[in-house]
Amino acid sequence: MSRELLAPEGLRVDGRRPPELRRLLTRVGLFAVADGSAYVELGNTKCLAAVYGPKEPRTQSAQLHDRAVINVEYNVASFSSGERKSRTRRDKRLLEIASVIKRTFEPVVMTATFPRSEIDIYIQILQLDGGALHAAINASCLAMIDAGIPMSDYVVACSAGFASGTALLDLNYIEESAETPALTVAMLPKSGKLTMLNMESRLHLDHFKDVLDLATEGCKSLAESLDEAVRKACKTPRPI
Amino acid sequence: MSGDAATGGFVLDPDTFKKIQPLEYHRRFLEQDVRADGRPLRMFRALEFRAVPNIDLPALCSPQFRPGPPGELTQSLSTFLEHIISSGHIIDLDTLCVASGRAVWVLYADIICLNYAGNVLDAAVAALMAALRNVRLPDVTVGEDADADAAPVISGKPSKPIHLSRSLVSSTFGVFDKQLLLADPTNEEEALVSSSVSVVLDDKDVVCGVFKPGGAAASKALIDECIAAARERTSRLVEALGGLGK
Repeated sequence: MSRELLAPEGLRVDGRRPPELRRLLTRVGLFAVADGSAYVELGNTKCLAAVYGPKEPRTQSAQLHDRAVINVEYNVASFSSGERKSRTRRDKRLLEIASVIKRTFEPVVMTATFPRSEIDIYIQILQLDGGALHAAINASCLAMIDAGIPMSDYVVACSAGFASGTALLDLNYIEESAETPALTVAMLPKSGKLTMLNMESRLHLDHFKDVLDLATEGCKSLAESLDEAVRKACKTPRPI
Repeated sequence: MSGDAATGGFVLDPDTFKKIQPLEYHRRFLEQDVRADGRPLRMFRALEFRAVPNIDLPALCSPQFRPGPPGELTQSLSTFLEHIISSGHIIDLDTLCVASGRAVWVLYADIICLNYAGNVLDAAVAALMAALRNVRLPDVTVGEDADADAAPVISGKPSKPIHLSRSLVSSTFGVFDKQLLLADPTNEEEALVSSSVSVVLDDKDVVCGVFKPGGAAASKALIDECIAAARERTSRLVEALGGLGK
């Protein structure tokens, strides 16, 4: 590892303690044209999600007779990270993340309520500082709730990693890019079940439980914040 | 080209001569120490100074846009923006030059619409101008002669803003029932108007662009009316902001 991610005093590169989340800022129902929308800021990672639907599918072939189809489009703004990158919409990495998010929501959304219809989730990352996937899932969850789409529970996601012998919660860009093993978890906070686990690097089995426990703790903490955001949004009138 | 390709009263015109004998054509120029396009032998062509605007109307911003490759509206808006900033001479191109003939800055302007509520062009022009006013370029030095191929180095000096020679304001009008002008149409009105006219003016009342993407034919009087209304609006904006360049 080129750089020490945990200082001897036990602080991380951005000054957090290992089990500490970044500052969360949420806005629910900010757009009038979308059926549901939400904005999530996790530290410097900024993510916007809009939900359209349930509505008539664009193509006949895309519909299912017994339930609604969920479509996810995940976009990263070319100005979101330090170096300008213009990604095409056919970028395999973007498609893969979109597909992960789609499959995370499918078991939770009561799709059987809306046969022969579709629900579109559009995600736009505006600024990237690590944790794009869990910011996107949290923003999508708020936008789905704002759109009034029935779900059996919240879907709350959080990441955790492992560096310098310690499990770290909610990795930022520096920690993610230092080849830290990173695990992203999506959880249903009421039942405590996990709908998505995503890890693409090597981690010793002895440490895996610590990392997973920390990530689920992070999810629980985020779930309270999201619930608070939804309750607050219900009390404030929507923009016209 | 002075053609001594004359044989027996027959004179070949330069274009034909170039096609038939390209090598000889260039050789004739080079003998006079000049090249076919008028440059000396060791002179590079001017590097292109560029600012590349790119509008994105993702499916996120409105139900009327489909996911997938950019649509016609997106592309025509991007091209129009590129034209008005290049032909409007907004940016003092000398400030984008690092070392003459060797290194220049290219400015990419990525504009993403997040919530489409009609009249995206005016919003995009405003966003573009605000972003250009906010640009700070780091001070860069390029090695001389021997190090000419080395990458430019960022010096420790503070970054500098670019100089904008003028500021643009776009004013869009929807033409309702072929005669009624609606300033700044909403997306609902956009669907109902017979055509729309955008007038881009600078802070000195110079028209830098007019955009009327088809639609119903409008009389010249109506276009004049649009320009007059745009002029009034622009001067009020300039007054309110105390000069747009600031």
